[in-house]
Amino acid sequence: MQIWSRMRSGFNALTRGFRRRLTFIFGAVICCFAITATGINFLSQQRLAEEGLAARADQLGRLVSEVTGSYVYDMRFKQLEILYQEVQRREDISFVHFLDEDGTLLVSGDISQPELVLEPMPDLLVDLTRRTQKPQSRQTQDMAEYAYPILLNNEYLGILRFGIKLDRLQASISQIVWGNLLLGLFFAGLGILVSFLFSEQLTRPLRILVSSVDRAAKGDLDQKLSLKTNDEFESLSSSIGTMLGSLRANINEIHTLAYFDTLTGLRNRTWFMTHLANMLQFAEGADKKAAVLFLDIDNFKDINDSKGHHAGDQFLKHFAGRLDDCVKASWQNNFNNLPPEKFQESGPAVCRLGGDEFTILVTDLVETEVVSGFASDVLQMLEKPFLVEEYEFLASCSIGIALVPQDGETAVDILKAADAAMYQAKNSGRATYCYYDEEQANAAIRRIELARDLRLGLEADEMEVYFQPILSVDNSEIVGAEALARWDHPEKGMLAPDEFLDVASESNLMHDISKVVFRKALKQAKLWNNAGRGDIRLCVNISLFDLAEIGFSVWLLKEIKETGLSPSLLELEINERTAMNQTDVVEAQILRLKSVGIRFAIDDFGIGYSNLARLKQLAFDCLKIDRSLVQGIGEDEEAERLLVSLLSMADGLELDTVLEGIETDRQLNFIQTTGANSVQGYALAHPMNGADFYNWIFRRDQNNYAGKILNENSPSG
Amino acid sequence: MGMKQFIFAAIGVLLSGVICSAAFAETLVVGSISSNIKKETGRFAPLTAYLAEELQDAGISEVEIKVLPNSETMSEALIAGDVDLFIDSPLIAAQMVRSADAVPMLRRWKDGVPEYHSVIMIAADSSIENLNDLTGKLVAFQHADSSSGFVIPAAHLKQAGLSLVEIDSVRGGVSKGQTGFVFSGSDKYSVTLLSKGWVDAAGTDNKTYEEMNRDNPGKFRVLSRSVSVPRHVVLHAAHMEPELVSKISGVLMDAETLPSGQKMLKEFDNTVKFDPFPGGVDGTFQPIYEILDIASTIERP
Repeated sequence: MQIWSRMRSGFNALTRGFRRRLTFIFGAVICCFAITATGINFLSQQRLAEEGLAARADQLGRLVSEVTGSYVYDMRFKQLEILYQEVQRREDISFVHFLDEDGTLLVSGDISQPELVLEPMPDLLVDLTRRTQKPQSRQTQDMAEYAYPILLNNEYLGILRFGIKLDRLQASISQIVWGNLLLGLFFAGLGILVSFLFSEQLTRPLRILVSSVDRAAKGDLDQKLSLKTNDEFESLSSSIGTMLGSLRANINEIHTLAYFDTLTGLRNRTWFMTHLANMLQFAEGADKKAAVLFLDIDNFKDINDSKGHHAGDQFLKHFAGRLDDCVKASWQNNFNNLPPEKFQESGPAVCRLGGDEFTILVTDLVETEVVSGFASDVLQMLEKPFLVEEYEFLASCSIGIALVPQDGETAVDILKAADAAMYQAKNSGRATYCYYDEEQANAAIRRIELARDLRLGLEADEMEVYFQPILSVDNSEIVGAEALARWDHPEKGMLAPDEFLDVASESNLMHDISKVVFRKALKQAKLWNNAGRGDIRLCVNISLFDLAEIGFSVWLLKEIKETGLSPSLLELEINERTAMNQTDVVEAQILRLKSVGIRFAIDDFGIGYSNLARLKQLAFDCLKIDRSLVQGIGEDEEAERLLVSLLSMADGLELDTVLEGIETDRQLNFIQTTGANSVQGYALAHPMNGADFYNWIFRRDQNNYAGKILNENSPSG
Repeated sequence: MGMKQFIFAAIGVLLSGVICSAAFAETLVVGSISSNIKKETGRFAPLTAYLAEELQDAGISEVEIKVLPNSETMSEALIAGDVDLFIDSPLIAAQMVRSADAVPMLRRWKDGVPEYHSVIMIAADSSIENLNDLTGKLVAFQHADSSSGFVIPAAHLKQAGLSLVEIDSVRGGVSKGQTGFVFSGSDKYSVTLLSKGWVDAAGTDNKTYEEMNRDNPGKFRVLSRSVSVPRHVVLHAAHMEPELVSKISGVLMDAETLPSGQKMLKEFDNTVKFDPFPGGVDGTFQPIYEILDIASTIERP
């Protein structure tokens, strides 16, 4: 079994591959033909040799027996001896016997025979010849023996008996065998060679195709495949060519999808990370310098929120196009005069990571100092307005710069560093660039961690609502309460909005926070209402994110309805900038909410750039004067006059007013003389949680403490 | 004679002695009859070498072999002094004695046989009882030149009073009162003819008969035997000096006692020895002469 198994393995190895198999089959067939032809040739030649021997023997037998007749008749032994010597002279003659009619030996040259034998020797061949009087023969392994009757005038006189050695015949046959064997081997070898060449020729197109497919499998899809065989191979070649073309197109498409941003046509995050990683790998150990510029469009969310996502996308396309042009122009003109064909290969590469985030990968830097000039150029070129659809946008971006190799060893590290530097640029006032440093990185990391904690906190219901009372200037009664978000961070304690709202805004969590605040605030207001204080207005800050969300008004009305609170008790505060730059969506939602009785207030009024004409057009109910305008009261007459003017303007516009940030008695005393409607500030009450606020309201009611509000202290101190 | 004359005479005697001794240093020639000179020369080489060695003291410087084709030329050579010694069968030797006055010297035991005779053999179951019964019968002989196969047995039959006549073929008839004979070519064929009944008797030598009888016991019997003759005979030419003949005889007869002689005898046809004729020269050769004389009367075609 083992031998059989090995034979099978050997055979399989021998016939592995179509060409080998074809060679083997053709070779086997040709070898079979060669062996058969050689065998037939051998048998023919052997037969001819044997027949030749038989013919010679017959000729000899007939001749000698005829000549011998008269000698035997007269018993002329001397003549028989002469004749014997003549015959014996032939090299292949083994023995010659002349026998008389009885078979008794007359003359013999056979030394093995006794000197004198006087009796007939037992010999079947002689007996047969004597009986038949016809030539007889037989063949042993090494000799052909013959017996011919000796006749004279048809009278039987004796027998010629002779033997022919077959060694010459055997030598001749051996020569035939070897000759045929060599011939067979020659033809078999020739057959194998021919079959090999034939198979080689036959499978050549196949091998070309296999090689082509192999090369294609290894990525060479641009090869030229052209077979002119005028057969199925040519058709197959054509099909493979077509297939490669399709494959090439598909792969190009996949490549484009994988490495290019579909919106802007720039390289995408995958390309950037892969390329940066490769670059870092090849730069390892070499003194190669590079830089990554991380760009984030300042306030892009405002564009999206105000003009919609379609306009935002169009803006991004314009921005990307200009950025790419800027990079090329700046780099080629000012830093490295690369020819256009080289720029694609070694010039800075602009990528869009996603959203409004872009990167520029600058490789082969000679000096990192040039990056600053390059970043300035880019910032400058982006200052021109963008005309997108019918809108004109002024855009800027913040650029974070990370340098290779000092700012990181991996692509992720470098990108993090550039990202962190970008945040620093944002914190530095936007529209600028910053290089990465470790502190910036830590700060960025903290912001990232805070964003993560905020997302987890919302899920864990860590967001709470505090309420700060708004009191009437006239009678110190509670007329409202501003709901303020507080984040009960499990490690950092209670955090005010200014500690997490920026992160929330960057993390797109503003809307989630607003919803939590609304729900909790409405629920709390319902408690007051149920307890008999249906006169307290609930004031909630609302951002542009909320109003830009088309379904926001529907959602809010549904929430109000569920709590059963009267919409008229709800006042939504929006900042001055949002109020002045309303989009259609925002305006529509404001109108929708106002239509059910919800009041609107402009928050932090006085620090923005409100257009008074616009202000008049807007259907706001209240102005909340910013604390910065209140802080100078009692100390700065000019500030007091400004405040009075604002209050007068509000009065003229028939708007209620609330003064924020009241912290001192002097401020309160002055305000009482200005005609302001309501006040809010630490001097009156600190923000407090729902339960405390509830208790604070009703403690004031039980104590009938409706007198001097100036002597009131907040519950929290 | 004065002193001077004496000295010259002494020198002359010494020189003549030297010259005489040089004149006695001669070549001894041994003759033989054969048609194959080379073979015969080789056959005699041990003998000639031995004689040359042993006869140096006798003034023989060289021993040669001279092969001649027939008895006539040999006879002439003996007469002419070209051949000194002649070794052959007794009948040939007897012819040389008669024709060339050669002198019989020694008997040679060729093949270890000192002498032989011929035998007239017939089939064991033959009705022939004596030689006279062969009248009208056919006898097979070996060859006309064979001593033992023809001359001696034919002479023996002739002496018995038979009239011999040669017949061409065994199928030929024998005239009345005559005894026909055919030559078979060899003793073996003669016996074959006898065995197959083609002839009534066969003449051969006693050694052949014994071999035939040994191989085919009970198949044949002897009808008659001839006189015995030496197997081989050594003659010397008439011109040879008796001293040298004596020296040669001594060398040949002593050979059987010497290792070098024994070696020579062995190599020279398995000869056992050379010895004098036991019955004397005349006693030995007289019957041979008679055979020769009778044989010469046999009719042949």
